Amino acid sequence: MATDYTTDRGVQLMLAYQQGEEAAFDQLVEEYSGQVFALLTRFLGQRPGREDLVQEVFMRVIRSRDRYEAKARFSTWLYRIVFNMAVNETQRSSRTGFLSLDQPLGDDAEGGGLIEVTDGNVENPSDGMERDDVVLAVRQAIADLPEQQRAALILAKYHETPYVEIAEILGSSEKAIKSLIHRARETLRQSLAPLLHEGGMV
Amino acid sequence: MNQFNEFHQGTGCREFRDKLSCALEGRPLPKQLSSLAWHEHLVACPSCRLLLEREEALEVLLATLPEPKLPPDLTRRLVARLSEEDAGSEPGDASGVGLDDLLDVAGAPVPAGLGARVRAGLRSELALDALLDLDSEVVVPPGLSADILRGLSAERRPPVSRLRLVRSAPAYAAAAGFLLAAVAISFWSGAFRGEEAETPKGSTEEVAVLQTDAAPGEALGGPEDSLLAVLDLIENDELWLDTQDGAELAAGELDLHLLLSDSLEMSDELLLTYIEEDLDEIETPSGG
Repeated sequence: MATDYTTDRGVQLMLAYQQGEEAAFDQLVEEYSGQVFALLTRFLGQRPGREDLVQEVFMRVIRSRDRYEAKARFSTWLYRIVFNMAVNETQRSSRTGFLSLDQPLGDDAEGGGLIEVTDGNVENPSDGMERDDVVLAVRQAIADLPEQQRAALILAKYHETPYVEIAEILGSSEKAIKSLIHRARETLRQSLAPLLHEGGMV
Repeated sequence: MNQFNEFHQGTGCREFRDKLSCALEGRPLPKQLSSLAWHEHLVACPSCRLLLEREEALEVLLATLPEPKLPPDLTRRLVARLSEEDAGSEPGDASGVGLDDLLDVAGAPVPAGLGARVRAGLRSELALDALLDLDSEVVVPPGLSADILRGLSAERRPPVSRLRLVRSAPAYAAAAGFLLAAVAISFWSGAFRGEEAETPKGSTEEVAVLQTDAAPGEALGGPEDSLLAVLDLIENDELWLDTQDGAELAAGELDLHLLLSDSLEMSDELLLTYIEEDLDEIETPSGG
């Protein structure tokens, strides 16, 4: 049974754009560029040039104009583009020697990446751990996750995307996504254990 | 297939875990699984207890409870209560249903300490979420969408496809016809003057022969082919009649324009320029 996605605001805009309504595209950029930027930031880290990537995403939207079909929520379709591009970007970065999220980021000379949580803090994290340090540690822990786990966790946790849609975005099954997220959380619980115990959260 | 195979399996484990899978994935539970059976197995099987604790234990347990016993806002109150305990206040029954009461379903014996472990597991989930929530905001640069739209303005210029160019501007199409006719006529009246009167109709080959005769140094191909095609068309009086009448060009002739601009490797802009120049020429004929 095919689901009707035409009630989805993004789908409506995209279909209007397909019919030649240029303003609908402006509206899509208006409404979705922030989400795309946030998703790329979470997935790739605070690297420079993310705005260009957002632009690239919408470039692909333009180029898909004629062959677009409303087979999913617009965000699902859009995030699939984002995810594919982010993966390409990480591969390109690792080839060209830019920072890759699958490697430690501590020696990132740009200073825009994730900052390494210093070893001194690990032993007794409550000493001198400011909120920002905790945030950085959380980001680092997420950055250390394998690509698929990281993507699934970010979509589920920060973009409140249902499992079934994450599965569509990542080209996987709902069950596999559940398992990915479970493993991601398990890994995070371990890597963030010092912080979980610190601050009386357990 | 079972996602819990990493755990030790004893009697009844497979059934229990299959059903746990159902519950975790939101599929309907098999009818024969009563909450009592859950607990009986849990009491007997430390491995499954461990597994349950690792999973979303509380939710699973809650799902097995008989409906009438569940207050509508149970989960919310439970979470609130656990948060209170986290905050250091005394646990008390006044705030709602106690977790231990919940676990004590239908009189089934509950393994000692299960409640505490479930509670700890839930807290650990909540704690992790709390930690992840610290990084809940990504700062989006102000004016991002405006920048994006500006950056994409070149990409969004409507594509000047050849077909669209001709279709959307019949005047240009007609002008292109004049251009082709003019080129062809000058060709004809110059190189082929002698042959003009008796040129047989139809055959491109014959025209090609004529053309090689006239310009022996030039190889055939590309622009020449296109011109031959034009000649062919003129011979059949199609282009000529249409342009003479000022009528809109027929579809077959649109193809001709495309063919011409393609084989001459003209850009759209260049094609447009030619057409425009020719329009001017037609408006002020130079007597040739």
